[in-house]
Amino acid sequence: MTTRETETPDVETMMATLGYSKQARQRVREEVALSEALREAIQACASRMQAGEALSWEELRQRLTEVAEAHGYPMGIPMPDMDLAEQFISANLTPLGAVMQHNQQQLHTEMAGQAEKQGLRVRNSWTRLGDEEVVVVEEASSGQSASMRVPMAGVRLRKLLDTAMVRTKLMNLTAEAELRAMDALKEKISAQQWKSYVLNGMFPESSKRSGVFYFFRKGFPTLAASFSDRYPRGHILAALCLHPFGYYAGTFCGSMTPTDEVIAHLLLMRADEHGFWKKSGQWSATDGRSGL
Amino acid sequence: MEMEILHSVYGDKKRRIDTATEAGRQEAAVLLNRLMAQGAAVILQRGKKAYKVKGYDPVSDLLTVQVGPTKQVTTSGRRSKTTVVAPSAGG
Repeated sequence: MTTRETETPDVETMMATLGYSKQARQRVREEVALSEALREAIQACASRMQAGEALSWEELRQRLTEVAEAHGYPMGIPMPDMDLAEQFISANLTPLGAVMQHNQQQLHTEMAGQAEKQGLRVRNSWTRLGDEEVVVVEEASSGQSASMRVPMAGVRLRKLLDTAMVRTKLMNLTAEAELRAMDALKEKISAQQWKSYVLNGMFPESSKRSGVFYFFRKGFPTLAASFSDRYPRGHILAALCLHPFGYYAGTFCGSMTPTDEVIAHLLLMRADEHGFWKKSGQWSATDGRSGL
Repeated sequence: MEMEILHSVYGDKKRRIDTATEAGRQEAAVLLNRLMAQGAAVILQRGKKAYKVKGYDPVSDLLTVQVGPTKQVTTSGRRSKTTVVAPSAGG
């Protein structure tokens, strides 16, 4: 009680100093109320467990969902797993996004991002023939630059293994949820597409608007390809990576089950193709993030 | 109006709002406005076609949907399924 009384004026003063708009202030107030309710719910669950009661993940998730819905977030709230080393990157406007990392500036190559995390100043980075990435970094003390060549085969394998590990570790990504998502997808695609999805883990669909062919893949970015006279066998325009709520850095794993993400890609492509491209990370086929 | 909130982890998150009543229309308006303010994409499906919902008028019980780069039309959402996709991050 005392904490709430002392904290609230601080938040209000801070918002007034920073010149928050009326709408932004309301949003912060709602998120503060939500975080307090979540803390109370988690503490109540912890007390029950300390008292010797067995509490399943399903029950905890249900409790948190109730809190989210009571505070006007019918989509739920992404709760990052504290045991994971991979950082959770949340979408803009996600509730409690400020305590997680918002979508950051996309560097030219993935290795450049990792070099920056290690405190190195990146001057440039690119991919080159021979399946390599080159990152030029600057030494802080001397100002001299050095280049690093990273073979991508190992990086891709590491990414695949990290993705598999994160998905398996995450308590909320259950096999039942994935099967439910597959049932939902089945209603939205043709019988032929469904067969392809079950047998190959991917299905194609073309956009009448743009003529672009999309290959929606389970657990990987969607491939956008163009078939024309110039490229009769197809040419990959980009691998489009998009995760509802957010994703775990350095992996292909999002906070939803893989097929839920496929549904999100499919519906956004059908309803708002331009918006789908705009929001997605657009990787070239040679980039490790394309999942090729 | 049937609204499917895409999140299989939470189970069957479908909401049916009876927009034949005044209270139902007001509920639909509040919910849709809130979801869109939260950055969610609300998508109306008709067979294989899908349209982005831009707004809802509780008086006429009509949804405004985007059908082209600059063209919007109003339509009834009663016989269509609406799916809500959470705000997304590209990565």
